[in-house]
Amino acid sequence: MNSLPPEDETSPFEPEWRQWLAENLLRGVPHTQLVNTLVKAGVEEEVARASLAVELRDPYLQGALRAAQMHWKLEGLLEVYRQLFEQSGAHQQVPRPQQLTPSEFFERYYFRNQPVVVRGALEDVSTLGTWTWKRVTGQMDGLQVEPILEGTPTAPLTVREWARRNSAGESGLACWASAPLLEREDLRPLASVLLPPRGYTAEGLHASGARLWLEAVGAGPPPIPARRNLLLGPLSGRRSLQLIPSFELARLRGGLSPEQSSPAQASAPLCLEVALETPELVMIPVGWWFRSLALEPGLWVSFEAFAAPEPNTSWRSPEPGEAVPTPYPRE
Amino acid sequence: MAMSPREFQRRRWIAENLARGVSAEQLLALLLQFDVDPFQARAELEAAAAHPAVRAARPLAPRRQEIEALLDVYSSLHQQSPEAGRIDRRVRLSPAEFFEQYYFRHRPVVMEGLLSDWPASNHWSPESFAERFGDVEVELMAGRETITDPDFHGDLLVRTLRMREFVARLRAARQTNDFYLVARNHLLQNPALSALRDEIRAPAGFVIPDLREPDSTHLWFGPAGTLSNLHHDEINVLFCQVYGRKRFWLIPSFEIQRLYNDRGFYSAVDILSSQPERYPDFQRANVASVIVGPGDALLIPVGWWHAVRSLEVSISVTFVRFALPQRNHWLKPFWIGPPPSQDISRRKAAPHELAPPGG
Repeated sequence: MNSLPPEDETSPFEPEWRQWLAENLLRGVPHTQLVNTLVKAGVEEEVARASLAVELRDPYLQGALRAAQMHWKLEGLLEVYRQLFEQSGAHQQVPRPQQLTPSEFFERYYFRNQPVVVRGALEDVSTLGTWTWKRVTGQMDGLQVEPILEGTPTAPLTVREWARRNSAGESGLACWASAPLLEREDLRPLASVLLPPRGYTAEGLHASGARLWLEAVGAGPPPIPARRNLLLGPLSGRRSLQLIPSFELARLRGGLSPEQSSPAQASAPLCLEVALETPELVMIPVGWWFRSLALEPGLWVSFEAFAAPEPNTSWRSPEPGEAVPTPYPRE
Repeated sequence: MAMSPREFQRRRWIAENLARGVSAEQLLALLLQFDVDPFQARAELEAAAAHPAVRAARPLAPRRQEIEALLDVYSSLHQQSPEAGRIDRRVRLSPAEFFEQYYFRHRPVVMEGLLSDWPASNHWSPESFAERFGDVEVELMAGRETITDPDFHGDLLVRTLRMREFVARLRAARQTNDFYLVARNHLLQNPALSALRDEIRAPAGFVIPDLREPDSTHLWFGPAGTLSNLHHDEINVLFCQVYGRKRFWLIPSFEIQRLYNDRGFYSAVDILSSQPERYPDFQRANVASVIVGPGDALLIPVGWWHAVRSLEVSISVTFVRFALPQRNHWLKPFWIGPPPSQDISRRKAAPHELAPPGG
C-alpha cells in the first residue's frame, strides 16, 4: 500500500460488490470484517484482500472517504457537546435564576447557546390575559399569520383559515404560526401594553422584533428548530414546552455515525421540559428545537431582536450547490 | 505505469469535492484554471461522479452542510461574546468551579498556582536532569526540521539518546524545532526515571490521584523554538508548565471548518504563516493566544485547535485522566485520510540524522 496505483487499475469485483465495499468503507467498517464477509460469500481470502487493497488505493475512493470521514467527525463533535452537557447535569432542567442581569443573560446563556428562563422581565401584565385564542382567531378575521414549518415562516394565510384547518386535523399543517405585532391596527392595544424586557432585547417594541405566536393543539407535533434566538412567553396562564438541544441535530435527522450509534449511544435526543407562567419568558437558543405540549391552544409573545452586537444570529438551511471546494492540491 | 502523485491528488480532490456536494461545473472551472487538460478534466470528473464511493458519500452532503451551518452559528455567538479571543487566567480555582465553568462548558482556562506543591517546581531543569539521569537513554523526535509536518510523521523521527547528550544539544542549539522529547516517548513510564514521577503531584480534585496508571501522565522536554503546529486532541488535556515558557494559540472546536483539517487531526494552516489567499476561512477563526509559564496549568478542551511554541527551554507535564466518573470525553471518529503509514499521496523525506552539538 506504499506505492501509487497503476493508471489503469481496475477491481476484479462486480459493480454490486464494489458498491457494497465502498459503502462499508465509508461507514468505517474495519477491513478485517469486510474480508471475512467476502470470504464467507465464497471469495478466496487472497483475492478478497487484494481487491480491498485495490479499492483502498483508488484516489476516487480516498476522496469520497475523506468527505465521509469529515461528516462523521462533525457528528462526533456534536456528540462530545452532548456528553459534556449531560455530565454537567444541565440536561435536567432549564435554569430559572432568581436574579439575572442582562450581562449574565448574554454571557452565560445567549452566547453559549444555552436556554434560560427570564422571570419578571415583562412589566404591566394585568391586561395581557384578555388576549385569548378565541379573541384572536374568532374576531380578527383578516389577521394574516405565517405557519412555521421547519422553523421557517411560510406563506401567510388568515388566522381563521389556519385555525379551522388545524382543528380539522389537517396533516402536515404547522401547529405554530406567528405574526408581527406592530403591523396590524387591531393588535395595537396588545402592543401598547407590552414593554420589551429592558437590557435583554433591542430598545423599543419596534426594534425588539415583537411577534404574536399562536400554538394550536397538534397530535404529537414534531419539534421545530429555532432558526433564530427567541425570547418566548405565554400571554396568559401556564404553558409547557419541550426543548431539544441544538447538538442533537444528527439524532433528530435520523443519522449518527456508525461509531456513535452503538446500542449504548443510540439513545433518544435529550429533551428538557419547561413550564412557563406569565410574565416568564424562555430564551430558546438558535438551533435548539421546541415542541408543543399543549392540551389547549394558546397565545405567546416573542421578542426576536437582542441587545447584542448583532440583533440576532440565524441558522440558515444551506442551499444546494453552496458547498465551497477545498483548496486545490499543491504542485 | 503508475499514476503520478499530481494525478493521484487531483483525482482525490475531485472525488472529495463531488462527495462534499460541490458541483461538477465549479470543479471543472477550477481544474481549467489550474491548467488541467479540458479533455482529461472532464473524463476524471465523469469517472469520479460514477464511482460507487462518491455516489454513496454524496447523499451525506446536505446533512454535513446543515451541521456546518450550526457550527457557524456557535462561532458567530462566540465572536459576539467577551470570551472571543481571550483565555481566562484564574488563581485558586476550585475543582468544582473548574469543571462547571470550564471543563463542561468546553472552554480553556489557565490556572495559576496549581503546581505549588510540586517538588519538580524547584528541582527540575535541563542541568539537573543531565546530572541525575545523564546515562539514561531517552527516545526523542529528531530531524523535525527536515520535513514539513514532523508531528504527522512522528513515528519516522524516533531516535534514542542519552539524557546528558540530549541536554548538551538542547543548550547548544539555542533555538530550534529540530528535536523534541514529546509525550509519545512515555518517559514517565521509564523505571530509570521513576524519581521524576515522584516529584510531581496530581492536582487534587482535578485529575485522578494515581499517576502510575498507563497513559495518564506525560512529559514534554525540548529546546526553545519547538513548534507543534495547529492540531486538536481527541481528549481533554490538562497542560502543566514546570520550566520555561510556552506560547499557545487556541481556536474553538466549532471552528473546525476554518482550520482546513486535511489530514488526521492536523490543520493545513501554519500558525506562523497562514497564507490568507490559500486559506481564507482561517482569517475568520477566533484565535486566542496565551503564554503559560512555570506553575501555570492550561485546560485544552477536547477538539480545540491549538499550536504551541516554546519560548525557552521547556519542561511540561500533561494529564488526561480527570477526576470524574466518566474520565474523559473522546472525539471519535476524528482521523481524516489514511493513517500516516498508508498515506501514499506524499513522498516522505527520509529523516536526517541529528545535527552535531554546537552545529
